[in-house]
Amino acid sequence: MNEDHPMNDYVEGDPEDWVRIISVDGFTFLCKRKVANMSETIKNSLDEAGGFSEAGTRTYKSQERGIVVQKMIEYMSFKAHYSNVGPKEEIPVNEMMDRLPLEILLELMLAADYQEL
Amino acid sequence: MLVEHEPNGGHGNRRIQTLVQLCQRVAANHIESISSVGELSFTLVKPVLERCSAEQLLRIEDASPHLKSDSEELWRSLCRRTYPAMLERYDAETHAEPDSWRTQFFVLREAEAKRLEEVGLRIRSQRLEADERKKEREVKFTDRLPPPKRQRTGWNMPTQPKTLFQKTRSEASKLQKNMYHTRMIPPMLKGKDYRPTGNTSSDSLLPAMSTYSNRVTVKTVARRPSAAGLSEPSALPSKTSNPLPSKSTNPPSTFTAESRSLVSSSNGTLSISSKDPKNSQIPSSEIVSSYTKPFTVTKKDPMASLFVPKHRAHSQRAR
Repeated sequence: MNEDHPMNDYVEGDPEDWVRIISVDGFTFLCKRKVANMSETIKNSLDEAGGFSEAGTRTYKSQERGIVVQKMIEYMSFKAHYSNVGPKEEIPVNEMMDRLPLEILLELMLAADYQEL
Repeated sequence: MLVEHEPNGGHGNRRIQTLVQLCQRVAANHIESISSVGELSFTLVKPVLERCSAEQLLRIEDASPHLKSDSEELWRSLCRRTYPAMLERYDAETHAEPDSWRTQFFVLREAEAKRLEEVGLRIRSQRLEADERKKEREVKFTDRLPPPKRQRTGWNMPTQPKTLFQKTRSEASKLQKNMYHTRMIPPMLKGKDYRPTGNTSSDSLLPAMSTYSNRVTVKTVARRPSAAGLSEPSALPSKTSNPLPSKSTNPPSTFTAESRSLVSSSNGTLSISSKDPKNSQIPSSEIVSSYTKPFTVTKKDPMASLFVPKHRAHSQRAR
């Protein structure tokens, strides 16, 4: 489908690629695709096979505020990293929980629900 | 086109809770800080609300009324959690579900508070009673003297003049002690209310003394027979009362003179009994017994037995 595009050999894109996530208040976040793919919605949106226009630009426009997007990406990194550890290793979930400030908690919960995170 | 491996990672995903779940957990830990859940759907906040107390739930519901329609089961589990016993009772009586578990909860709470209050009241009163009972038994400090075992006469207080009859009676009772165990002798005469206050040292002693007013207490006392024999006056057998007021002011000398004269002639001429006065014990008993009437037992003051000396010197006998 995108054979003419020199950079993409795969439909889904290189996981090591950098993608852009933009918050509603103008902040731009760059992260690896494999991290961004932790969120189903973002993954689908960036999925070039899905036909979304964003796929070409590798940019995702979020409806959330910057702080919230940042926390989400933080979680996505956490999840991406610990998805691949061996079964014996303990996952420091409590640490992640400690990093969730109460002030944005409910907003974050709403966003996480939408993002299928 | 090769499909790359799942970028979501392998099965490690299964072990990691979603961000939603993490948020719910954190929120549940900090319910107090939550004033409202805004527009969040019930399903999202349900795990948080399940861990609320009644007040918290009420507050959040008030802030986000859309939750109220779904919160019935929350209130139901709250009821069950907080008042398990009451709920069982409730179910036993009426098998219908209450219309609103929310109101039901507060009904239960009031009932519980009332019940607790009643129980508390009962316990408190029981404790007070126990305390009182304990207080009665404990050692107390008092200024009052215990009553003497016998009626004291003339040791510290001036005696009132005694009628001859009264004297005889008291003598007889004293002698009686040697014969029998302690017992009470009923009052002899009913005509006048004798208050043998001449027999008692004072009225300031324990008011229990008033119970003795009509009775002669016969107490056992070891007495030398000779002393008893000498001292026994003849008793007047008359059953009519001497018309004496209790605080009579008749000069005592008259009586003593009388009694002495009687004593001197008592040797064979005891008008009461046929027995020789030398056998002092026996006639005294008869003397007493002739006065015996059906009697009632009065309560003895438990302190009465405390301070009585066993023997009184003969010279100290009141006259």
